[in-house]
Amino acid sequence: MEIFLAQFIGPLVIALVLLTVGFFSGRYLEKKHYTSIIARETSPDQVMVFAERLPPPVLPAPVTQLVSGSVVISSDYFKRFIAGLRMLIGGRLNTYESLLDRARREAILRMREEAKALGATQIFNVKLETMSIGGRNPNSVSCLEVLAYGTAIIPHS
Amino acid sequence: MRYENRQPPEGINVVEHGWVRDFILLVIGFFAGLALLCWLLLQLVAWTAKWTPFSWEQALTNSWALEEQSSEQQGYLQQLADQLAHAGGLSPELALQVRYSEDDTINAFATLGGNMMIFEGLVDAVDSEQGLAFVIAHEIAHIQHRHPVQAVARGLSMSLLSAMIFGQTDLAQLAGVGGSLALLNYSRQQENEADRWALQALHNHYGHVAGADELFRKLKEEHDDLVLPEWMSTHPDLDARIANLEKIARDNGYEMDGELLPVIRGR
Repeated sequence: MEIFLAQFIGPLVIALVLLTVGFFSGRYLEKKHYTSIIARETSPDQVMVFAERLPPPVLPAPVTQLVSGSVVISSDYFKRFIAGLRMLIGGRLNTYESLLDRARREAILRMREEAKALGATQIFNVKLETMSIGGRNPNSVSCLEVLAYGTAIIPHS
Repeated sequence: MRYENRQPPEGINVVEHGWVRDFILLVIGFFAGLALLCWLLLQLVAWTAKWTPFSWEQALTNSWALEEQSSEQQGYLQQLADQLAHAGGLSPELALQVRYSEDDTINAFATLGGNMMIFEGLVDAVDSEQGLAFVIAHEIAHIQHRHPVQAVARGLSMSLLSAMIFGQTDLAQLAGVGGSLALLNYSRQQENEADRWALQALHNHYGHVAGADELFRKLKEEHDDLVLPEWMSTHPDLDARIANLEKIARDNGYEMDGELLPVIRGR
């Protein structure tokens, strides 16, 4: 009987607990994060970001500096569970989309913060990179890094 | 040129609450489909496994290189098993090999190749030969119905299915639990089937079925606090089994009273 419990009921209970914890914590954190992201993005004194390679030439030439913002974000059990089911039939991975969207926007916000600390008003040539930290091992923690980088334009004071 | 950053609208890259539909549709639809698939596969596999030649099973178990046993106790058990097999009408192409283990587990099991393991704990637990004979006949019935090979085939096909669909994801674990519960249902059906065969063998051998439920009654006294519900267990629960035995005996008109023989315990 004990063997039976350990073999079948144990994993089921663990999976359900992980699923519940993942669901509630994931929902709560995501909601909180989005509120914070939107509040910061819409604040009026943000450094502006552009994908354009260079600003129009001006004299005297402004100081330029590489700025970057990086985010490491982890998936939760619930997101993985939904994604696992989705992978069987294909389609939008809703739960991962929001995870990546948050990471991308947060990385840009951190880059802007860095630029602002340097006295920049604009960032040009903004690029984004995403990499999975767990690698290809299916048992590793599924988390990823999003890196945003660009050229900060610091005007002469 | 004037530069500005406008806030893009939400809901393009991310659909809010997009996971709700996924969760409901996928979980319900997927598990229902999977259950159906498993059920069909199990039916097919069990049906096919019955036609596996017994010699294949024997060839497999011979490769386990189990030691030959020739103790007095093993001889007695083997003789009893052979008598019961004859009384119950074991198919001529099947062969029985009783193995005895000096372990105090109250159990016996039948496995591939007509091998049957009987533990000392079981022999000690029963007082009458009939009590022991019923358990042996029950295990012979499993061999007669080719249950071990069916169980192996079912288990393997479930593992294969799970590996093919889920690979090494967390879902595999959940599916494993569902699959195990499904297998347990088959297991319980097989137990009932085996009980029926065993009772008939006992009736043919002794002329009555007294003492057949001795072990169940003993186990019931010991495990009054059994907590697992029936659907989570490999065997039907004891009350149901005892009642079922009585019903089978009544339906077939087996004599329920008779002389009980003592168990021979070689030391």
